[in-house]
Amino acid sequence: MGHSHAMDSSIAWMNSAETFVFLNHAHMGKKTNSAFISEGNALEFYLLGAEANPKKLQKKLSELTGYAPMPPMHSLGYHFSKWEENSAHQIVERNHDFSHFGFPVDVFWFDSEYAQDYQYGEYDHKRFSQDDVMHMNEQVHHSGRRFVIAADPHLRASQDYFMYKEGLEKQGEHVDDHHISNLFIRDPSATKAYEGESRAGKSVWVDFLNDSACDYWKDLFHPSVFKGTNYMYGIWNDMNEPSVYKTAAHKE
Amino acid sequence: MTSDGDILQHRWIHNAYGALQQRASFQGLLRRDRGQQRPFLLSRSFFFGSQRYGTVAAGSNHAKFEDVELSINMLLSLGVSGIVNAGHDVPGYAGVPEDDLFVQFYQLG
Repeated sequence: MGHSHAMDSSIAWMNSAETFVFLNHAHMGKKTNSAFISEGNALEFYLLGAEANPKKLQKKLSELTGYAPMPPMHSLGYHFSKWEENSAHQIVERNHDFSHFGFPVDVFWFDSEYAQDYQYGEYDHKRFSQDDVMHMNEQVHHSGRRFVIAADPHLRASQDYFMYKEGLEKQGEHVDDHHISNLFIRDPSATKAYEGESRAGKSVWVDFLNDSACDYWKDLFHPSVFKGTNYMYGIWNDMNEPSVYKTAAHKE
Repeated sequence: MTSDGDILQHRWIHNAYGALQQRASFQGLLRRDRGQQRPFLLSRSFFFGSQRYGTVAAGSNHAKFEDVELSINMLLSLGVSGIVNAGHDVPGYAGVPEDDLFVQFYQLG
């Protein structure tokens, strides 16, 4: 995006492959210039301009890429988020302490540690028993506060994990004559699920290009699936660059 | 693999993967609440259009003064790129802040 008293302009380089951007500022008689290099995909970019009107330029960009919805009111407040192994008891205590000491807090966050072995979609029952979670929800609801809970795109490759097990069953299933279900991203041979290392150990990654995978993922947030959660819970998609440990994500 | 059975290599869609997850999660929250609540969703990865699905995080910053300064640059840059709801950790994701940094980071937040 460029700005001068006479002109506002921008370039929207729409490419999801690896991309390098070079910005060269005016120097030694040369004008400011920039260069974009992407590894692949169709060449697609938009040049936007408005005469001395940055607001109009923003409107053009929003018309192209979409407007943001209003955020929920509670999300504009103070969020308490700490990466640590916590428990329902501890959150109840914190909830009480924040009120007691008059420190305004609006949302309690659960990083991936809420789940046993990072199996997102289920509380670790040792630290979050069903009764304790219900009590925690009631207390936090009573205080007018909310939760946000992590759901990352890597799924632990373990037969003990319902999402992994169900996903494998649906992998490659024909939805109808023309549509195929694919829950997990495949390896370069395209015959089996790609396995890599994540925070959860050996993992597979949800294939969000596939409608069946998206549909399955959407149902994860229903209280009948993600037990203990309800309308009070927002979602946090972390590590979705996606993070693959020990190696860069394989490009194939 | 798309529903039509087309196979795309990760290299072509890498930077949009996070946004695809965001969209599915956002729609999942709408489905859960039957569209009666504004969903709250935070994503660490994002792409063009991510602003339609919630807020984004500027990533794992440090409890340092230079990261306070950087956070302003990052959030303003995201803003002019159309991603208006964005935030970062206060007072830094990694490291232990000194008292004055702690206070200034919270003031900025």
